[in-house]
This record gives sequence, C-alpha cells and structure tokens, in this order.
Amino acid sequence: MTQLKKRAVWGLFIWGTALIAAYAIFFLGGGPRTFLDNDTRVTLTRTVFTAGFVSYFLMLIFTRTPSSGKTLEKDERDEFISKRVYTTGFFSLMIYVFIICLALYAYYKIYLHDVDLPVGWVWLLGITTYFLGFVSHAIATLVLYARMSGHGES
Amino acid sequence: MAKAKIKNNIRKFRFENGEMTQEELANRAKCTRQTIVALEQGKYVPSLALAFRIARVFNVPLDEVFEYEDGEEHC
Repeated sequence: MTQLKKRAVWGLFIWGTALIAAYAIFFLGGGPRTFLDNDTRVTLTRTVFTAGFVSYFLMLIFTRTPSSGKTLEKDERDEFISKRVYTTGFFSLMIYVFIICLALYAYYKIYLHDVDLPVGWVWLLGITTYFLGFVSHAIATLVLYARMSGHGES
Repeated sequence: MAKAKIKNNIRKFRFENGEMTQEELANRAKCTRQTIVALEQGKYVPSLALAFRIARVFNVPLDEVFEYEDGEEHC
C-alpha cells in the first residue's frame, strides 16, 4: 500500500469518526438550537477536535517515509491522483456547504416564515465542513486508487 | 467520436526479457510496482517520460511498447 493510500485509510477512519461524533453531539441532547447553552456538549466538541488533530498528526508521523528507504514510495501516478483528489474533494465540500445553506434557508426563512436561524447551526456547518474536508479527500483518494490500480503478480 | 486508447505490451516484453518481475521493471523505470501493475491492466496512461524510460529498459523503440488507437477509421 502506498503512503498516500495508507494515509487516506487512516484519515478516513479518524475524521470519519470525528464527523459522526460531531453529528451525534449536535443532534442528541437538544439539537443545534441549544448547543451553545450546554457546556458539556461544547467541551465534547472541543475534545473531538483535539483528539482528531492529535490522532491525525500521530498518524502522519507513523506513516512518514523513512529517510533511508530504498523503494520508491511515490511516483507520477500518485502525484496525478493527489492533484485530482484536491479538486474532487474541494468541489464535493462546496456542494455540501451549498446544500446545507440552501436547506436551512428554505426551512427557516420560507417554511417557518422568516424565523431567525439558531447560531448552533452555523457551528454545526463550520465544524462538520472542516471534518468533511478530510473525509472527502480520503474517500476521493481511495476511489481513484481503486479505479487506477490492478491486480498483478510480484 | 470514439475515445482514444493507448495500449501497451509491457507484460509481453517483461517475459521476453528474462521473465523480468514487475518490481524489477519498476525499479529500473523509476516508478512504483503498483504503477507497473496499473499500466499492464490498462488502468493508467503513463507520462511521456515514463513511457520512454520503460522502452529504454527493454531497449526497444517507444512505439513497440505502446500503441495509440484513436478509435476512428482512416482511409
């Protein structure tokens, strides 16, 4: 497994867990409307953020290329995949933000007739967008590797 | 309009060159073994530089290793 693919697998696990935890914290125990009023949920969110970052950086350290490595870890195909992943991940993130903003506008401004948007939703959007950036990057990496790999002999 | 395809005979040349392994070809062409696997499976099109390096490993012209099919009929 190449370094890029290895990091994608671990990144998907770490940030996917953080994303699920963020959604659980926001929607269980009162929803986004009461998020900022609940210190426990705010602390839990901070913990998830910290745990995610620490795990991610530890993973980067453990998967780094050894300085005396004799085999090539990364070549033009990996770089090609890497470039496409950034574009794909960026656009999928933009689509996510657009859909969420549109849904919130439609619900609060149109369906509920011009009710103010609770600020908890903005926090949800910001935090999940951050986590989803890593998740979409990891998924795009794994999908592209699956499409551009084969099964060969050694 | 039909999509252009680049086919290759890397596997054939590997076996004709002392049953060279994918690992050995990858080392000599300065790429990863996974890239050689993807090339042989037709799942990746190499850059010109990599294509030339592979042809040089086998000591044959580029167009013997790689074939370009533009998908259109010519008169």
